[in-house]
Amino acid sequence: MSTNSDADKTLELYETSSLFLEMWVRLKRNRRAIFGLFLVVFLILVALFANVIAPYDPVQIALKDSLKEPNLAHLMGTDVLGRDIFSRIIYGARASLIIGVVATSISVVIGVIIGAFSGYYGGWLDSLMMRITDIFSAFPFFLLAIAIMTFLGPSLLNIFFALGIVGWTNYARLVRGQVILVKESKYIEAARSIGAKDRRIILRHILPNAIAPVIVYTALNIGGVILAEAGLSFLGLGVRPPAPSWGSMLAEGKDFIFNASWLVVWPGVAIFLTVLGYNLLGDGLRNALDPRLNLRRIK
Amino acid sequence: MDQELLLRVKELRTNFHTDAGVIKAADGVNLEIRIGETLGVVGESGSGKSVTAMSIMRLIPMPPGKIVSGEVMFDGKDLLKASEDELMRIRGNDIAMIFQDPMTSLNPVLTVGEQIMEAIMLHQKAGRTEAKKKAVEMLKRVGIPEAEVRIDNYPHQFSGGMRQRVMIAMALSCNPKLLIADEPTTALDVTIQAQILDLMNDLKRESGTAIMLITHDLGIVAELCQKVLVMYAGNTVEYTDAVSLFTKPMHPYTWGLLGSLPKLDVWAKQRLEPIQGQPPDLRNLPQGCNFAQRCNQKKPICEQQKPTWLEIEAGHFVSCFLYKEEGKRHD
Repeated sequence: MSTNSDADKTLELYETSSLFLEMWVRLKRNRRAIFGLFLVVFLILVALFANVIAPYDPVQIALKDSLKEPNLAHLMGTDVLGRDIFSRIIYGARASLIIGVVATSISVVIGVIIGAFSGYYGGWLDSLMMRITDIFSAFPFFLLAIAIMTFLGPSLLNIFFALGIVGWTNYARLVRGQVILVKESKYIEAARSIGAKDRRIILRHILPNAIAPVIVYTALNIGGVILAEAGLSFLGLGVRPPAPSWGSMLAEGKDFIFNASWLVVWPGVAIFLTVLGYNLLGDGLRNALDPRLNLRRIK
Repeated sequence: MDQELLLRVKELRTNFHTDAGVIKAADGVNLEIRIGETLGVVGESGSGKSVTAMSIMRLIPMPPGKIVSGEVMFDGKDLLKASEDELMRIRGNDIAMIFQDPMTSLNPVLTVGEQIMEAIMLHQKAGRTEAKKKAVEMLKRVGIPEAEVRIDNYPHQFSGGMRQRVMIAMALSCNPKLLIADEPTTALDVTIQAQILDLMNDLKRESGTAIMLITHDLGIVAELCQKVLVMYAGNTVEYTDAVSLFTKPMHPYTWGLLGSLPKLDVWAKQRLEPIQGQPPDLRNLPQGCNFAQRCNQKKPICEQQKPTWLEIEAGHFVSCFLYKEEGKRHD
């Protein structure tokens, strides 16, 4: 077909590609998702190379430079202690990313293990685990995180723990549902018929088929976790000062909101763009992995 | 016991406990398979063919299923008494299975190579490279062109017939003694059906694997099978060699089954003769013979007692009261 070489190329890819390559082909068409991906990649690069990009030491106090408006020396101005906001935003990206990734990973690991066991074995084990999940999710997410942080005291490790422990319930439910769906498949029966053990069936045959919605939810969730971290830091329960965090920067700046608005604007913009990026990417992934939009079938 | 005997199932009963009551899916199944022999299992939907196969493999989901009683002697071992560990070693290695629908029987996220290699690595203690070599060889044997390239493809890149070839490659990769094929060609179109059946037959001749072929199609039975088992409502009603099933059928249900087939050699406007009535509800089986309601040879005893599994002639087993007098009890 000469009229539609682009579509031909896509079909060619389907013929020869893996599932993840297909996902990428579909994701590429979604401009908003690509914008989200761009924001996320940008954030990751900033966090990785924070020490190269940042012009100043983020915790270096210089009282004579206190509350400078944005200028050429300080692109985003300085805070009340004279610290460079630009540098603090950049280092704050590092904190946000680490917390987002580690806390979410903890949630994913707990949730996937519990969900997989629950869904695969069913019966009383399932009932017990799902009731525990219910109890955990009965607490308001943020309130539980505040309670845990108040109890343990603010530190990076405790944030991982608090945000990880409050977030796993949705993963457990998601994975359980998927596992129940997948374990009835013929190919699971086939795997059993060649003598595969439970562990092998769960790890190799069920989970890879159940993981797509988890990927989507993870992308959407990291944004939420970063927002929650900012909230905790805003309340003084998060990253301990003077280490830079967008949430605590907001908290420190809120007293000067009318005469030094740059103190709150830049951290706010940073949080906004980060959460936006993850959400757009997550939405895009959901569309790309949605079996109802499966182009293979249209072909 | 017969030296040649590979599998003997005696009085196998498998129930499913559902909200609507206990379904007696297999209700007294008897069969024998000798080494290298092909047994065709025929019967209408719900007659217990697949349940029998799954019971032999001990793959009945429990709950709701339960194997209540019986004996499955495979290679001198009662599989119903075997431990889960023993079964894992047998499944895929000594007994392999091919399923009805090749479109859903392969895992979509693993390459076909990975899936063929899995059984080899599990049972033959082979390393990855060795397993891969064997997998390529198997793909070649089942007639997949460019096997070295295709091995890294995913199932969706194969057509239905090709996938069934892959399933066969998987099943035969460990040289099983018995291959259970549960309607392996039902989901394929007719020309592909013939290819797949030919392939199975060729492979059987090469490797000496016995086959239990579950099918609806008496034509396939006539062509491929040495022995035939006819099932009805969870019972085995007749077991014999393929020739005498067509020339000398003994059970009234088999008569009905053969009578309902269209014949090419009868040049007249002849109506097909269906068997009147419906098979019984498996939750609520009659006290007597399960086929009694539909049987045109019915005697009073048929509604009171279950007929026993009798060897009426050498190698010809029937469960019917018509033959009670001549038969000797089989056990």
